[in-house]
Amino acid sequence: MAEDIKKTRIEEGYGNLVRQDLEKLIERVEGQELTDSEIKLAMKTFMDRFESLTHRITAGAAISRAVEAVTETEVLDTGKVTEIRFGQVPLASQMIMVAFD
Amino acid sequence: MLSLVGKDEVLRNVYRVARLFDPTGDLSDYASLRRAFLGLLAQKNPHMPVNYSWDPFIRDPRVEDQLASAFDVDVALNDLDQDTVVGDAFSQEQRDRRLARARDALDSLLRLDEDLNLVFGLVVHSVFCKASSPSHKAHGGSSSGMIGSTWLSLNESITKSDIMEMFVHELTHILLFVDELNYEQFDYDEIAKPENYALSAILLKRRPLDKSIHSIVVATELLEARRRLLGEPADLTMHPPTPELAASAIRAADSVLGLARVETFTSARLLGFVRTCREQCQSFLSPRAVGA
Repeated sequence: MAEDIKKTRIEEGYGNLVRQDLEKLIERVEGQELTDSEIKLAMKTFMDRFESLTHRITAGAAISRAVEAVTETEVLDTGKVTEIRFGQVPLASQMIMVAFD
Repeated sequence: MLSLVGKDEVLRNVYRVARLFDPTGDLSDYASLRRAFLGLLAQKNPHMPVNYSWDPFIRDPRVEDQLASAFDVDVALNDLDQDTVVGDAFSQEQRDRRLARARDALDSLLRLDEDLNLVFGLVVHSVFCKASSPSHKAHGGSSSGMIGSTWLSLNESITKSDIMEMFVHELTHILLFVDELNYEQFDYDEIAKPENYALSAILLKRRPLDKSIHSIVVATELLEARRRLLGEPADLTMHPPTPELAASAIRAADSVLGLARVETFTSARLLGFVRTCREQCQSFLSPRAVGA
């Protein structure tokens, strides 16, 4: 059951993004806003994004492998550090990183 | 950070933080891990918007203002008036044009490397465009006040190659912020003292230690990205050429490691990063280190 819910959630998030992209593209094609070469470029962009998302969605094995050695103690230790980090006086510890010209 | 510690270490950093939000759920797939990680950020920054959608580009001016407010704080570590650096909103047309350029550059960048694609999508939830204030000339930035959000100004003169490097640059800051959620990095009282400032790798000025160390790691990641993925195209205008950037990063690393009692206010882990970056940068001193 949990697996089904998880799968559905993934498909919903993924499907919405893909559908929105496609709908936008179809609208522009139907509205004759695009030339043939622009349509080809838009389709290529769409497919690239599709592949990029597919890779992320199917990355479960890589994630499982990476995190399998994480222990409960490590998570507890991280909890202490995270609490300190968010608990520190903001004016003392906030880092603002700007890429100046 | 990605080339410095590798994808698995980054995933473990994200996972441990995500576990704090969801102690019992199955976080072994991308969507669940991302949702729990963002959940923790939202819980800890209740006044900041966290973007759960799969599209990081922000078009809503109100959300943009909220995200920009993470810069608008006069903090002890500000040395260059960072709190006034983000300027006005663009018109919707200008915003859309800039976001389209950013999206094109990001898509091109993420196609080059699966690990980069995975990690970027996991930790960067928001990218917003606002102008740089007239008194500053800044290309963008990131704030630990809203981890996972990146500001870009996208001046007309910068190129697609610059924007691709900018994404590598900002991702590095964000991954260092996430690392700090796992491992303490600084004694903040000490690093705010001017006597503990060190050279930064990109501006080559004495700056607070957080800026200096971040700049060393950013420089190294840019150099590694050029070597592995981007090359050094002729249209780069933002970051220095490779030999210059490598030499500056080495000078900055020496400046950090030469500070008196630096180990008493900087973690051993962070100093280890600086030493590793220094070693990596050595290999870029030859002008032939990166292909065109």
